[in-house]
Amino acid sequence: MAAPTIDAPAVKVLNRADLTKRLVARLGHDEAVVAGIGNTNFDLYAAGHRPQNFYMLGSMGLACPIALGVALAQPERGVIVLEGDGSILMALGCLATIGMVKPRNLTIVIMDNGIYQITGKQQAATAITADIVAIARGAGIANSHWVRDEAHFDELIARRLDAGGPVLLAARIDDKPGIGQTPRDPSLIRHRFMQGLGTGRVSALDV
Amino acid sequence: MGGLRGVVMMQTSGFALIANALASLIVPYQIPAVLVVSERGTLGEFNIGQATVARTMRPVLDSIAVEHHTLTDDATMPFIVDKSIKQAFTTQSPVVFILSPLLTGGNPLAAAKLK
Repeated sequence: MAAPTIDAPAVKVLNRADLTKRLVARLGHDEAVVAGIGNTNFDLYAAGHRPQNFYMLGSMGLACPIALGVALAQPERGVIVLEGDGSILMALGCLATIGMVKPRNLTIVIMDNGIYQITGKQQAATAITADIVAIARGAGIANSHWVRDEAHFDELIARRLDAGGPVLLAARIDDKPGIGQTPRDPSLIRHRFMQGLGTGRVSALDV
Repeated sequence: MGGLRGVVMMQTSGFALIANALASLIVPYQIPAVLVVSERGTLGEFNIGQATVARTMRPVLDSIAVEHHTLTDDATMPFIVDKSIKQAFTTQSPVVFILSPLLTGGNPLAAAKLK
């Protein structure tokens, strides 16, 4: 795996499931957590379902746009998106939108293992030449950082709202698969997410 | 889902890029998305690529049973739009409004090229 090129001469390779549990343990204000396709949402589910979790089962690349929408709709709520490197490579334009709109309550965590893991570990550009942190900074997300190790992750998460704008954290992770298996029930996922955000319908007569 | 309602606006060729988002997010999650697509590729198009992609639009929507209405004139537009947006929310289903050149007058560049 190529070394990252911005501000992180040495990073520890972490584990997605561990990092996700670590993140979830540090939430305490009903933050919305949007997790992208594949192992990213499996590990969020495995960390323990929360009413404010959204599990994206299809639409690869759209976790950040979904999270942006939630962040704009609920500016007083912290919104965190967990996304893989392969997925964000499909939707790099959204980083420019986020950099331009600058939602201060949005935190992006990119789990970068340099592979399209769930389809057979095909190599992604992030393993060779693409530096997600450099791309994010170039897109206007000035507060973009490589995660050096677990302690650094804790520090970055604790400080994320001090930035006054969107934050992107990129973590190099290993190639272990997700440890959970999110139930594939999209309408239930949406219903529970909206209940968790306080925007759900109470009855079929609500519009 | 966060409590705001929005409208997504795009051109025909923009619509052609979102098939996966429609089919794997909006439809299965039953999101009442309101889309407005300005129709290009018909009634005076000069670019064959645009003409071809315009033909994919309605079949794609029909294949995933998404309600769509082509708006052609000012007289019927208010009724169609008002009722359809209400229906989108009462049925928790997306709706697509296609703005025909009959309504918009089409691409102003086309008028120059087709003289």
